[in-house]
Amino acid sequence: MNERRINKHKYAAVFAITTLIFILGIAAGNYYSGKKLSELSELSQAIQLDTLGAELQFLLIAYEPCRLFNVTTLGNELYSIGSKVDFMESELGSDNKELLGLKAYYNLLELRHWLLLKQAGGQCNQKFDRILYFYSNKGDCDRCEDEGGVLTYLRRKHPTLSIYSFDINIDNPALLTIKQLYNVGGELPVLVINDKTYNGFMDSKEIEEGLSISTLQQRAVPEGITSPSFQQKQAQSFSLLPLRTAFLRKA
Amino acid sequence: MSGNLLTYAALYFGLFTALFFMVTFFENSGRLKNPEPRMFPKVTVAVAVYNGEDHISKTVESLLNIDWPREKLEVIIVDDGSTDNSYTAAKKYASDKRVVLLQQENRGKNKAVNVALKLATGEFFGVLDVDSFVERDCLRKMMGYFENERVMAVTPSLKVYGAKTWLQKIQMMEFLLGVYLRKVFSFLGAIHVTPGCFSIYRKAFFDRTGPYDEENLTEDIEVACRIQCNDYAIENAIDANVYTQGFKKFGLLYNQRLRWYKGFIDNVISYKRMLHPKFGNLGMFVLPSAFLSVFLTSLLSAYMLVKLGQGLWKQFTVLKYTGFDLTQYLHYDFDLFYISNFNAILILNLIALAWSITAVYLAKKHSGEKSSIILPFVIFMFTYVFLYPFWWAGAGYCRLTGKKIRWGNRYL
Repeated sequence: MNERRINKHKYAAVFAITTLIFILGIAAGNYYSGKKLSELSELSQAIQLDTLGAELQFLLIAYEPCRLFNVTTLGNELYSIGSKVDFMESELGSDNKELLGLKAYYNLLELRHWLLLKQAGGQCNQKFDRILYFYSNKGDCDRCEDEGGVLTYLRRKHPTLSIYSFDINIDNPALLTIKQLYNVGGELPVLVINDKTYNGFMDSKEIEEGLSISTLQQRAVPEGITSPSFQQKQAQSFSLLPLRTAFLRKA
Repeated sequence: MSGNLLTYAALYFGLFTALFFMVTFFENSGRLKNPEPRMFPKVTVAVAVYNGEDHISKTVESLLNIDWPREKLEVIIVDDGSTDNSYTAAKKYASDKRVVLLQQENRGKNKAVNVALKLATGEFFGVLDVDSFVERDCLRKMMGYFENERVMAVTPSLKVYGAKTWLQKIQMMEFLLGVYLRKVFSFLGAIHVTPGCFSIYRKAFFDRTGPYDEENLTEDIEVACRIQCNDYAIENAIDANVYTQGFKKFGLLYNQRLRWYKGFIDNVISYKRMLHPKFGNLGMFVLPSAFLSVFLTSLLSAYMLVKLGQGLWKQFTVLKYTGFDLTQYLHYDFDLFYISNFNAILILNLIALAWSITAVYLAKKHSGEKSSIILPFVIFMFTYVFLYPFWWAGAGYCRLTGKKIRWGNRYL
């Protein structure tokens, strides 16, 4: 015969086990999140080494600058890290201290690559379109998420376009210099398209108006298919593509 | 942040409840076998028919073929004013001495069943819906429990037969989980629903406390509450299988759930004295947790819907500002990093999922279910979290506004 009488010991035991499972689940979740962060940190360090290597390579071949220079892998890795930083930000929140440190470091890497590309463009006598994108996720930029989505789209559409995004609230001397150089301030988001500064939201058409014809003609091709012309190969090799998918970011 | 807190609260409550039920099940696993009946008292089964000409043969034949002494079985078919050929279809069984065939103007299922209850000559009484049928050994597996004088009702395992559409598969899985839960509730002395389909009652209980409540939306819940309030017991035979048809149309299913859940709310309010320590597990845990689960699931699914809506809106906004260029969706950057991100909520959800799979497996194993449950389970997991609160919201709305719910040709 079944009893409906309450067995207090059973309830207490189940309560204790549930609490234990809950704590273990949370601890395991935190452990994995921490592991992901250190994985990201290691990736960033690897990128730093690669960047240094690319810069050295660039210096070594300065007398024949556009022939051997190849930073495709570097650019893709940087892009990949950017996406991962964003993902972790959406998981852990934008005020996670470890993540903030990583973001600041990532911003420096972005600047380094931006500079590298700018120099390469000048020396190779080619036009490489670059966009600096300044956003804020402190609640003072209503259109930043939309802008992030538009830039993600443009990056997919034009694989040679390089987009670098920066949290305007993160300050370091290098970023400050860039901000002063391009007069970054006022209404957000701020876009610096090929050294020209624009305030406020821009849709894909408006941004494309500021890009060069070579970029606009360069459409995304499925992976594994290589373009026959050297010119195109070279253009692809300079696609650093470090766009931070701000679209994923929590507001 | 509040979304996370809500998710954690729902997960903690869900894990506690699931673990408590699982512990109860395994604690009593030695008592899963049904007691053999030592006596074979007469059993009356009522079949109330309203426009069921397509199913009536299968239903009645399953009853007439049941493994129970012929002279100890009575089947009362009440044609409740059908407008199709149900009465003609039932007539062919009228020559069987065990069958009593009646016809009345349409007055609703509860009234038809009460007519049969009044005429029943059996010591035990049950009802079988016209779209349902029983396994041959069903009654034999149930009747042994009545050896205990305190047992007033025994419930079978109610399952969905031949689920083909996605909606039927959801119902199949829901009923299978119900099989597991009903057994657990029986171990806790906390069964609060004796399904209308082939629950068997001691007829003396009706003689003493009155017939079915004809104005009740869920007479099966009302009888169960009445039994509990009179301090009697309800048992369950997990492998006594009764099969019913799942609804193919969402509207019909919605109306049924509206009736069930509104009926549940009405009956718990009517029998609110059950929410008392005197009623042990039933009053202090099972009934309150039923309401708490509805509350938390509703909040959680509303939160998920809002998030889903926000996500879709974001996608729409991007499309709007990129000239609705759909080619952007052709590119997908796959990385294991995003897949293997084991955060706390995901880990706890995986534990909850493992428990759900175990519960369904136990129900399938012990009730002898043969059909595959993988696809129904997957469909169930992705949809039920939204359907369940949706039905409850409808029922809550009807309760608050006093809106009547259609049952057959009546509005109750």
